[in-house]
Amino acid sequence: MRWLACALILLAGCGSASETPVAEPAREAGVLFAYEVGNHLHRYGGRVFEDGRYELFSGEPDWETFEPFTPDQVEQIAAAVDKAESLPGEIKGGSDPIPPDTARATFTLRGREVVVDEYPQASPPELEAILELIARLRKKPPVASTWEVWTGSETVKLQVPCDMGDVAVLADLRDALFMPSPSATASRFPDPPSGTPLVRIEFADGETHAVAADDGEPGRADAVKAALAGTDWAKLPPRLC
Amino acid sequence: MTPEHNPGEQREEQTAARVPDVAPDVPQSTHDRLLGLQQQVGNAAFGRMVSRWKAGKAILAREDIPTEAEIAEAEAWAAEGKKSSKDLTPGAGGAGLNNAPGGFDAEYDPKLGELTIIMRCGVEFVDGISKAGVARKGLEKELEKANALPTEIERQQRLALFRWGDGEDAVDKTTFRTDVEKEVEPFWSGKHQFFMRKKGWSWLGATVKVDLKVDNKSRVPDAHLTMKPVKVPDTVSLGANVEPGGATNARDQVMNVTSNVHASGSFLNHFVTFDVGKSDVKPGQDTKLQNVIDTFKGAETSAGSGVADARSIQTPVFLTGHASKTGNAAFNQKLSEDRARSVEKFMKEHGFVNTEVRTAEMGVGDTEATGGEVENDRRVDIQIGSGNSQNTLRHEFGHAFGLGDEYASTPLVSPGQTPAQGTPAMGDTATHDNLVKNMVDAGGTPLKGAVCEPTDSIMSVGDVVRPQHYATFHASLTKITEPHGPWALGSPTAKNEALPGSAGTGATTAPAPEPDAVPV
Ligand SMILES: [Zn+2]
Repeated sequence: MRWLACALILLAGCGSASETPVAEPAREAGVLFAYEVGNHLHRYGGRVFEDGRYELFSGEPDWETFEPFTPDQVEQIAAAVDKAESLPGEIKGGSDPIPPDTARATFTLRGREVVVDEYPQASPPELEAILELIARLRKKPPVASTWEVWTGSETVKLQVPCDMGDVAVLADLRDALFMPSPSATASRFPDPPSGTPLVRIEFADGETHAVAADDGEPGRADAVKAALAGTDWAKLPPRLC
Repeated sequence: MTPEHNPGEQREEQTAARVPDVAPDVPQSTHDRLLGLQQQVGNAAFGRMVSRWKAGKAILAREDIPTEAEIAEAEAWAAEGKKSSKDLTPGAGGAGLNNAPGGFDAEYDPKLGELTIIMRCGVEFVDGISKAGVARKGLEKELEKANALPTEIERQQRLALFRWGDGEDAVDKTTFRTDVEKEVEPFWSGKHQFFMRKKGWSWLGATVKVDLKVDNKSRVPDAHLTMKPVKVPDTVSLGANVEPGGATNARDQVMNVTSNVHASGSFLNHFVTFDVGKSDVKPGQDTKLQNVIDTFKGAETSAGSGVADARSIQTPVFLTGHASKTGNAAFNQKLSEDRARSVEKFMKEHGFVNTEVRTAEMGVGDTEATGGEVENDRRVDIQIGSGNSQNTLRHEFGHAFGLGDEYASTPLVSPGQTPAQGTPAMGDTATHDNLVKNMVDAGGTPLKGAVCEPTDSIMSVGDVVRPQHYATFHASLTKITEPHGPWALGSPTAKNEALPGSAGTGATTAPAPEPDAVPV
């Protein structure tokens, strides 16, 4: 078991001598698919149970439970696991010599283990397909939003029915709105009239977020203005996706 | 008790012994000084240093003194100016598991007495969670946690922590570039010094300066190393590794790290607990202690032989006993001491190599921290060597300089992994072993080499840069100053001085005696 090493990594930088009790890994009853990956510096993993339970760990060896998969999703994962049935018990990367601090992965496919010695380089498509499927199934349903954007001379309204991350033209503005410690050189971009925000987002659930030209957070308004100045918002279609 | 490692002698002689390799912050406590000396020169060299002084001063023969002609030859060579070479891969001389060739330029300035290791690092910034919301491997849990946040604004703010700022010179990118230099350069610079161990030339010294030139990959077309830092908040870990590339290609190394240049791992502090009023190692704790022993016992000539491999660091272990605050103070003091002694006895009886000379035990009586009757207050702390955490980035740069790993699969470090899977076994030869054997101490004696074992060394699981970790720097210095050499560990001499270790019987291996210890 590689769990004590994980517990020790937890202590990083704190100088404490405490050692936490460690959890047992993937080999638990009812596991449909599990993986644990890493080297002596860091380990992480995940597991899906046949009843849909979904658990993950990273660094700390304690599994954390997240929203379960639906029966239909479990079926899809089971089908992907079945496609990996013929994989051998150990898959070697073939590097000679094997690079320093190479990560190694142990996959559990319904109680059968497949070890990948050089992960992820040597990981077979069957295993990666299961992980990609899980990532797809876990993608959060999009939260639709409406954006009111100051163009420099007027405010335009843009509908974003998809996830804002999927809209390339919003990328810089999104960073300017949500990244910590924003910084940008002050733009000559004209301020909107008093009471009109530079940008205002209303999410489908009614939540709103706005940044004004006189925003109290240092650098935020300048960062937003710099992002606004980079796009001709008035020329965009009213629906961005 | 081996004569090469005698803590009693070290304590006695430490004020007389000069540490030849620059230690900018000279440790003050006995505990630290002992460690400092052992870390600076190694056990064998330190033992010889001690016996050298014990043997007393010796008389030099006339032929040991450099001639005017020899000094003039060296001066003429030095006057030619800097010696340098580009795209060196000195680690390519290594062999076997986890071989890392390294890749850097090296420049020696005789006037300054300085070897500069120049490594150009091109950075390719990688988002931990992409704009489209796709997590890098290992960040699945972080994405789930972000997606579970109650509001969309909180979620967007959390996801933004996994993206690099926009543009080539976003604040977080420039900070990362600067921080890499700040974290790595001083750590790897100035730890040990070389001098040319050639009669008449030994006044030529070489301190080591590491100069990283970190910039965006697009601006460093001739980078030795491509760094791919994954953006994460500082509380999130992701591990790291180096893909060394071809053995003689100095420009194809890739380092996978995170944006957190301060990420570290801690392996060197452990403890066992005791029953109330008891000092015997109890069931359950014995297993824990056995794991510590099996991890840090030190490499042996053969597994279980009890005889240390000549290359073993033999990291010292500090045992500190504690008692809970309840009860009589004098009794608790004795109990603490008994507990520390009990752990030492257990280690000796259960396979720890050279327990007598490697362990120092003490008791501190009551534990102030908690008060009351708390199990963790009834304990013995076990500190391996420096006891410090290992900064991940500094370790990975060791690979970039061409060093291999020195840790080994043991109960507390990558257990269950095999050399075939890329993790060395206890006692395996480290890939830079032969380069280390090419190094000599000040007296001209070759170093013993490098072996894989968990220790407080930077290429193992700790933070100490030992002479052996300058093996690829030494190899590059040797190459760019050919055909002159060899370069030995230690400080340069005065111009008219004999080579260190020339004088007297039994003194040929003294590492770097005080100038006034060798009358001429
Ligand atoms: Zn390593």
